[in-house]
Amino acid sequence: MGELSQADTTLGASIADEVRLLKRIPLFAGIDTKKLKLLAFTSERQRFEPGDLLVREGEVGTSAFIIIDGEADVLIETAHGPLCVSEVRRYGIVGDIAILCDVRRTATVRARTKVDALCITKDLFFSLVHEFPEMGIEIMRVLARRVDRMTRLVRDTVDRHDVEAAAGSDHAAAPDAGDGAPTPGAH
Amino acid sequence: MEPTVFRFILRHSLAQQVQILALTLASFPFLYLSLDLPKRIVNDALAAFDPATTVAGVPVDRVGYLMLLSFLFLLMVVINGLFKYVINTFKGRVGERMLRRLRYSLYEQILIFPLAKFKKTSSGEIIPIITSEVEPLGGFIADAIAQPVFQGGTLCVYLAFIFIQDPVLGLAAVALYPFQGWIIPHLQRKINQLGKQRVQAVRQISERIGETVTGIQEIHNHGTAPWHRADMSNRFGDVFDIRFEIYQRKFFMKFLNNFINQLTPFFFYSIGGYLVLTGDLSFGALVAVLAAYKDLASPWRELLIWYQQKEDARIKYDQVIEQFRGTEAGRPPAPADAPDRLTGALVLSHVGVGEDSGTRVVEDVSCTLPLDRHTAVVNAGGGGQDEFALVIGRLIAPDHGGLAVDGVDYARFSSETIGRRVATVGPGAVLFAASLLDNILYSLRRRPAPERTSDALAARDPAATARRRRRAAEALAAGNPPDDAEQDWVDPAAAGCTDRAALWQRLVAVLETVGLAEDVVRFGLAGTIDPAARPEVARRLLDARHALAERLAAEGLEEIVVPFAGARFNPNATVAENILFGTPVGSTFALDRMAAEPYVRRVLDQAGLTDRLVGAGLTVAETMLEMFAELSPGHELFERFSFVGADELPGLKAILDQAAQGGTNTLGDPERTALIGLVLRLIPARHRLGVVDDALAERILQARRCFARDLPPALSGAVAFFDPARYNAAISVQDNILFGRFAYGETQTASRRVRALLAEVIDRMALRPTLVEVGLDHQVGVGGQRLSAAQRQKAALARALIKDPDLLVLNEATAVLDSESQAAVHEALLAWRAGRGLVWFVHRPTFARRFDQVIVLRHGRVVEAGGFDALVANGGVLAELLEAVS
Repeated sequence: MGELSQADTTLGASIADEVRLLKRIPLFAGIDTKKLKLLAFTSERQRFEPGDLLVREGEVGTSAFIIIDGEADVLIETAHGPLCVSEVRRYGIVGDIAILCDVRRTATVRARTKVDALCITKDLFFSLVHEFPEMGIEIMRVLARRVDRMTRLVRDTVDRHDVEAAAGSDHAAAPDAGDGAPTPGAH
Repeated sequence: MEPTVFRFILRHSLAQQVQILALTLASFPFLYLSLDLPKRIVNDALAAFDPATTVAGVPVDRVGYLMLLSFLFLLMVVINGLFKYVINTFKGRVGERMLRRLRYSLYEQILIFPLAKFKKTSSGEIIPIITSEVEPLGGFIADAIAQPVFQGGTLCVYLAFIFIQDPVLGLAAVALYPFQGWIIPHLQRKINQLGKQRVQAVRQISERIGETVTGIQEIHNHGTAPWHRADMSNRFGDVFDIRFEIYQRKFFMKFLNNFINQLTPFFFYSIGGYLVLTGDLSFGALVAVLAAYKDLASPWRELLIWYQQKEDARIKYDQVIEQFRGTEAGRPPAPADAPDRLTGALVLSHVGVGEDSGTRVVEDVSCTLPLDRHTAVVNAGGGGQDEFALVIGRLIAPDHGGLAVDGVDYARFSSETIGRRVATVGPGAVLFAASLLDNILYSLRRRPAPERTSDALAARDPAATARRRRRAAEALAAGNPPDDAEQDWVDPAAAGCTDRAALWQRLVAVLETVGLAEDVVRFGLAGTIDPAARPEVARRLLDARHALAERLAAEGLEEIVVPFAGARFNPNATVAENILFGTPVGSTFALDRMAAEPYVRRVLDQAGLTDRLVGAGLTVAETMLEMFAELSPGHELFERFSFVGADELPGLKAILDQAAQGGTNTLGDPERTALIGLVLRLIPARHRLGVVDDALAERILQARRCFARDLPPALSGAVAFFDPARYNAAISVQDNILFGRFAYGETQTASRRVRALLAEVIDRMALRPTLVEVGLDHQVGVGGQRLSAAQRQKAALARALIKDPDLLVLNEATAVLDSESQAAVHEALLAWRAGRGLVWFVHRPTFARRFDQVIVLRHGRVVEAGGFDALVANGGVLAELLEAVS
C-alpha cells in the first residue's frame, strides 16, 4: 500500500495529497492548483469493500471516482453473464465523461480489493466550472485534444483499411495532411 | 350574543357597575372636603382666626386648630388616594373580566360555526377581531355607567348652583346645550361611518397579511412581490386616508365644542354685566356664576370624551357581532339520549347538499350504511364526494333529506356523542403544534379528569391547588369554563380502555396498523431522554451501547463507528469535541464561543496547545482563503462546505497579512482567538486539511485530560462528558447507543451493516417500546410541518383509530402514501375494522372488491349500489370503471 492509502486511517489524510493525485489525471492536469484544492476539499473520500460497486452499467452517472488505492474490475453485461474487460487501479479514473454530460454508464466497476476513492460529483464540478470559466477552457482544451486523437485514430484505422483494400494506392502517403491540428503533446 | 354593547354590559356586569357607581358617589364627600379644607386653613386658621372656635365643643388655640385642619387634610388626601386606587383596580378587574367574557363568547362562536362559514371567513379576519379589535372595549366597559353619572351629576350640581344665583344666567348657561346636543351627534355620525370603514380596511389588511404568509412560496415562485408591495401600500394608504379624515372631523368637533363653551361667557359678560349695571344682579353673584361656569367645562369635556368612546365601543361591538351573526342557527336541536354505542345502520334518505350558489353537489342520496360492515364508495366522476363524506361524518348537515341511526335522527345526537362514536379522516391531515403523542391522543381529549389528578395534587402542593381554585372562580365570574387545560384530559375510557396501560397497548397496535411504528422508532432514536428522570431507561440504553460495541467488534466493523474513547483522538469529531470530550450544555462551551472562554484558554495554555493551535489556525486560514477567496460570496459551495463564513474571510486575510509581516508574536488576543476558533471547528477526517498531525493530536488529548481534571465546579454543568459507563443526556438516544462517530468516507454497505446491527440490538434488548415512547414525544411543529405528508396522514388515521369509533369514514385518507405502504396500510385497516362500521371513499375501484357493499357515485348521485361481484356481473358503471383501469 502506498503513501496515500495510509492517509485516511491516520491523521495525515490531506487534500494536498489529493491535489497531487488530481494533477496526474489529464482532465485536471492543466487546472490551477487552488481550484484543484477546492475541488478536493469539497469532494468526498469514499471507501469500498471488495465486491462493492462503484458504478453500475446502464445507470445515469453523476460522479467520477479517482482511485486513490485498491483495484477494481471493469465488467460488461453479456449474454453469458458479466465479463471482465479491463481493470482500474491506483490513479485511475472511473466515469470522467459522466461529470461532463448525461451518459449512461457503459460498464460496471466493481471493487476487487478494498478501494479508496475520491468522489467528484457532477453538480460540484459544474458549480466550479461556472464559477471559474478558465477551468472550463482548460477542460475544453483537454477534450479537444482527445477528439483530435480519436479522429486521428479513426482515420488511421480507415486508412489502414483502405491500404489493405487497395494496396499500392497513394492514399496512405500523408495521414496528417490538410488537418492543421496540433500534434498530441505538442502543447 | 347580546345585540348591543350596553345590553352586554348590563346583563353581565350590572352588579359591578352599581358597585363602581356607589364607590364613586361615596368618594364624593371626601373629594369635596379635600377641596374645601385648604380654603378653611387659609381663611379660618391663618387669615382670620376666631378665638371662639371650638371643635366638638372643646375650645382650641390657633396653632392647634391649624394642626388639626392640616392633619384632616392629610387624612383626606390618603382617603382620596385609597378611593382612587380601589375604584381603579375594581374598574380594571371589571373591564378585564368583561373583555375575557366577550373574547371567550366569540371564540365559542367559532367552535359552533357551521363548516360552510369557514369557506367565507378567513382566519386573517377572525384573529384580529378577538385579539385586538375588542381590546378597547375593556377600558370602556368599566366607565360605561359610572362615568356619565358622575360627570353628569357634577354638571347638574354646578348648573343648579348657577340657577340658584340667577335663573336668567342659568338659562344663558344652558342656552346653547340644545344646539350642542344636536350638532355633536350629527358630526359623530360621520365619524362613526369612517370608523366602520377603518375596521373593515384593517380586517382586509390582516387577511392579506395572512395570505402573504401562507402563500409566500408562490410569491417567490412567480416573483410577484412588487404587486404585493403595491397592494399593501394602497391598503395602508386607504387606512391613512380614513384615519386622517377621522382626525380632522374629531378635532373639528372638539374645536366647535370649545368654541360654544367659550361663547356662553359672552352672554354672562353682556347680559350679566347689564344686569349688574341695572342693579338687578349683585356683582358678587356674577363673579360666583363665572367661577362656577369655569368649573362646568371640565365635566362637560369628560362627558364629550365619554360620548365619543361610547360611540366607538358601540360601533366596534356592532361590527364584531355582525361578523359572528347567523351562527346561532348552527346550534343543534336538543340532543337525543346519549347512547353508549351507535348500533345498527346509518340510513340516508333523499339526502341533498347544496352549495352557496344553490347548485346541488349531492342529490337525492338514499342508502344504508351498516355499522358492523364495510362499505366502499367509488366516485365515478363529478364532485360531491367530500360533501358526502362530511354528511356521513356529521361534519355538515344536509340541506335536504335526513340521516338516522336506528331510527334516531342523526342530527339529534350531541356533538359529544358524535365525537366519541364517529371519526372522519379526509385527505388533508390537520396536526397541531404539539408532540406526536398529543396529536394522536387528541381524539380522546374531550373532558378533564379531575378525580384522577386534583386530589393527588392537593396533597402534594396546597399552594398550587389554592391558585387553581382562585383561577377557576375567576373563570366562572367571566363566564368561562373553570376546567384546567394543564390537567390530564386524556381519558382511557373514551377509547374503551380500562386504564393507561391498556390504552398504551392500543396505541402501539394503532401505530403498527397505520404504518407509523418505524417512523416513531426513528424519532425515538433521534430524541433525547433525561437519565435523571428515567434511570431505568438510561441503564438499558447503556446496556445496548455495550451490546452494540461487542457486535461491531465481532463483525469487524469497529472502524466504521469510531468510538469516543478517553485515550484516543477521534478524527471524525471536531477538535472542540475532542478537547471537551463531551457535549456542551448551554452556551458556555458552545462551538462559536469556546475559543474565547477563559477556562478553555487556560487549559490550552497548560497543555502547551495555544501557540500550536494559533499556528494551525494560520494554515487553515491560508488554505480557506486560497480556496474560497475567489468564490463569489453566497455561492452554494460556501454554504455547503466552508466552515468559515464569507464575511469572515477579510478578517482572516488581515490576520494572515499581519502574521506574514511581523510574525505570529505580533498577533493580539482577538486575532489569536479567531485562529484558535478556526481549528476548534475542524473535523480532521472530513476536512483533510492535514493540520492535525499525531503530535498535535497528542497535545489535544493532554488538553482533554487537563480540561476534565481542573474543571471548576461552577462550570461542571456546562459540559456533558462522554463516559462509556454513563448515559449522556445532551446527545440523542442513537448517539448514546452508537457512542461514537461514523467514520467519514466509509462505505454505504458498511453503514448499512451498522444500522442493521443497531436494529438487531434494539430488538434483542426489547428497546422498541422505549423508543416508541421517546419517539412519540417528537414535536411535529406548526401544522405538523416537521413530519412528511405521509407521516401526517398516518398520524391523522391513528388519531381516528385510537378512539375506536362505531363508524369510521375514510375519504381518500391514504392518498399521499406510496403504493407499497398503501397496500400494507389498507390490509391492516380492513383487518382492524373487521366487524365494525367502515365507509371508505376508495381511490381505486379495484380495491372495492374487498368490501361488503359498494356504492357508486356519479355527479353527487348514487348510480348503483350492492355487492361488488353482483355489480360487476351487471356490467354497470363499476364494471366500466374496472375496465378502464385494467
